[in-house]
Amino acid sequence: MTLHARPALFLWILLLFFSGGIVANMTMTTDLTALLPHSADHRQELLVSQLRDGVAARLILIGLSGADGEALAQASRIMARTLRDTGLFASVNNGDPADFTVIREVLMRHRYLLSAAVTSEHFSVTALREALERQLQFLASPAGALMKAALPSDPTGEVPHILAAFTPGEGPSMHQGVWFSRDGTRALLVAETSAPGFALDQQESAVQAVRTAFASAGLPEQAHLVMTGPGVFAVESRATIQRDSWRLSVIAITVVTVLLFIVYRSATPLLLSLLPVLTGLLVGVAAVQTWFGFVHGITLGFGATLIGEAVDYPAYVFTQGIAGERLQQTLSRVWPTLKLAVLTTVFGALSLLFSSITGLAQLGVLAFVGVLVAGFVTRWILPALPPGVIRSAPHQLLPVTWLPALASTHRVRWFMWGGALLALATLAVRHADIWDNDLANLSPVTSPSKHLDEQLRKDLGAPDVRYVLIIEGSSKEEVLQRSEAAELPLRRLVDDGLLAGFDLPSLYLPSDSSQRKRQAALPPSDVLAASLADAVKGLPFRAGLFEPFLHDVEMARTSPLIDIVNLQQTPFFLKIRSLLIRTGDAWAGLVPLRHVTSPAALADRLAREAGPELTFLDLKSEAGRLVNGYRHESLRLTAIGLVAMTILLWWGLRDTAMVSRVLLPPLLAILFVVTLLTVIGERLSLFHLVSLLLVLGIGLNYALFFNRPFSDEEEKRRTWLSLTVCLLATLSAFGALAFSRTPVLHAIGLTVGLGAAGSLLIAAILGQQRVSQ
Amino acid sequence: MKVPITLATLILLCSLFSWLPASAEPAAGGEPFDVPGLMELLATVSSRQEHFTETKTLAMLTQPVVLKGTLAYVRPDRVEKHVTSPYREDLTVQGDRLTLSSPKGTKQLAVDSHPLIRSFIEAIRASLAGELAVLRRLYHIKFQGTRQQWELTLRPLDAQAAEYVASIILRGEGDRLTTVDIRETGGDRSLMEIDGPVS
Repeated sequence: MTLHARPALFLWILLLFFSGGIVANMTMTTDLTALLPHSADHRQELLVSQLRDGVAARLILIGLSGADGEALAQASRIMARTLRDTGLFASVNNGDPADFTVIREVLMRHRYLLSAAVTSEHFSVTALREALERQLQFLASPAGALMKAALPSDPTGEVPHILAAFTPGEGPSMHQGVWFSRDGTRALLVAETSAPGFALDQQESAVQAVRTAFASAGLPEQAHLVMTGPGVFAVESRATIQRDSWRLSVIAITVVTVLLFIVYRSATPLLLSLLPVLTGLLVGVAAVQTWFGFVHGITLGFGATLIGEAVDYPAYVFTQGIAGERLQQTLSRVWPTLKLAVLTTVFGALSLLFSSITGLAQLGVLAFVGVLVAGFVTRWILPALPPGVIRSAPHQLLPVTWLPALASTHRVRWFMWGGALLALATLAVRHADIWDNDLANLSPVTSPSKHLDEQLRKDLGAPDVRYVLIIEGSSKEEVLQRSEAAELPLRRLVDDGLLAGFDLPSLYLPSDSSQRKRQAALPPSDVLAASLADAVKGLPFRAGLFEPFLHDVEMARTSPLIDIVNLQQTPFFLKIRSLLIRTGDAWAGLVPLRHVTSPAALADRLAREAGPELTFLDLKSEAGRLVNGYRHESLRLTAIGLVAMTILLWWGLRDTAMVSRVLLPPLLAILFVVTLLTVIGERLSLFHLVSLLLVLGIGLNYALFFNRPFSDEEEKRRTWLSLTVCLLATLSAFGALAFSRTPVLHAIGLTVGLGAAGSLLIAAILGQQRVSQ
Repeated sequence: MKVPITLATLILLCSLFSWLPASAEPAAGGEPFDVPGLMELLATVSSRQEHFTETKTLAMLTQPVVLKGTLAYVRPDRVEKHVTSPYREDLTVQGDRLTLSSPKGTKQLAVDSHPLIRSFIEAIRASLAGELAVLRRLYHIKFQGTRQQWELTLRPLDAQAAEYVASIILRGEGDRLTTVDIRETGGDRSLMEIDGPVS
């Protein structure tokens, strides 16, 4: 152990200690909105508000099947009650009319301020007469039995009028007094979680609560529960990814361990190999936590990939060892090259660090710190730890000469350059197919699940997850007025079949100005009594029947206006809060749309017929734009990073030809991988992009080592062994991921596996060129 | 918040519950007669169409409301009620679907969507179809009279339906339904008299 190893060890332990402390108390978040750029444009802000507060994102659609209708209806009622009691849901609805009484009471109380039908005309003798004749007809029908109770107070039918505005069209099918699918085989419920759609832990509790409620709903064994909705899908995806990555990690670790054990024939270097990358990850995460105050789940997932190349660092050292040599000596030979390998990655990460997008900046910090620390541990800690001496030379059983053999012919070089040109041409022709802007393609949600979701959504008339209208205004009042103005144009669009329905904040809370207008339209009691007496002439209504009506109108004339506060404790409160939100100094009204049939035509008609303060938001394409923004910025930053790396390489190697030989392999490999992925129809996502950054790091390392000056044939053989071991380790780890059915893991695995193999191959081909000259 | 059924729909639905029969061969008199016997007899009629007059007597009104129109039945599960005066309204039950149309529009829903609707409809449909099992599941049944002149009293078993309807009394002669008398819990009454076949 050298003298300067002691302070290094001390520093390392200190680092581990502090980082461990920070990581143990770190704030993990999975809230997607935390990753967004600070300078998000207006639409993206709206997108975020939708992701955060959107009603559609919080709905869980529930279907029960596999038993007779009566049992399913009974279970539906039990589940609705159980779920409401959990407190996890803002509302649980199954269509049961019993739950509807509360709503009727609220409507009854505020009917003259809520009903859009209230104008001064509404209480004229003619209008009253018409209303009374209509009521007489209702009374004559057997439904009069149900109607009668409300007639004396509400002869003008305000409550039915308000209700009709809430649910235009048919609504879900009813059987046995609850909602059922159209074919009557599946009882349906809609639950709205209190937590936002992207709060995955809370969504998971909600999903679990539904399962528990189902299990205790008294249904027979063969009964079946289905659930869909954004939150449900997100929870399922996370579980799939976790399960998949856990299983694949075990496979990868086993394969890599066996491989390294065969090479080292000793357990010690195996264990030591893990130290740099683990220390790097720990300190890197601690750095992100310290810098940003929180660590995003995605940063953690990608970060582990990004600093994956650090696994190779010890391999470069151990495989270069000569039996009996001290590790310190091995390092002194390898370090100049390894140093460049570490620093190039650090410089690459440096550019991400300055990203305006929090997510990328976090990745940058993690990679920057992580790789730097991994390099530090490899250089100063590994030799300071026992045994510090290479006991035996690494196993040479691997036919390491495959590399030069493969690349030994001149023809291969020409093939490669020809291939590169072809690849460039292909990409130029198919540049439109390279990138994937659809986040949904990365979700592991199967198409049967998507189909089921569509089915349930249609049966329930639940709002579309994808399309929503945003009404903006500087005040609550302005938004509500605009919401009222939007009702007529929207109804026309429904009539024209462009959508099935919509919800508006003003349906539940009219603007103050409308409320005042309605209040002013209510006639004084003596006037109303006189009009009513006129209107009722000749009709067989009992005298004095409508006293409650006269009384209620008089009350409404002087009552305070309805405010959100008055509606607390009613089912309307949550509704309004989710439809009317504050965004900084401004307000926004959300208009969930149901079953949009023609988005393009809808957007077009809205632009022409509704005001500019009404924005038609396609969440899917907005999310796509967001991802685009991410991609453009990361590409730009990567380009800057590449320039930095080139300068660094030139500084380290002092040889332009050498720099190009080091830079070309990973760049060409990336070109080939991108072309191959495009040709086989796999579109590139952010996950691919981050994987390509790793390919760049790994490929540079390969090329650096391949091109380092060798003192003798033995050292050359040892280097080939290093590279073969590193490549095999990378291939086994990422190859396993490539077979995952989870798109994210598959993308990372395939890209890194192909890229790493390609880089080494090209480095060999280009390196051979030098030897042959 | 979703509103399950709007009031208007319920109202329309319920107007379904009137019903009528038509002629078959005259019944033999004198022999003992019971509910199964009546059901058997009614089940022999495959279709009919008759005029009706419905008189509603309500506490809220100083004089009764009188509706006129036609009723039609086709075995086993189609019932139509067409009101022609004082306003127009058509109500059709086909299997478990209920369709209501008026000059204002058309609505469809499931017969079993609400216990009250189901009580109203099945009292007529199941009786005319002679489906005793269905009647027994939904009502407490009382029978009196003879084959020539019988009276079937149905009281809804379902609490939600019983809240509004005290009893539905069907009267008939042989296989012909002559009156549907609905007594509501609050004392209001609807009496539908079936006047004779549409010529």
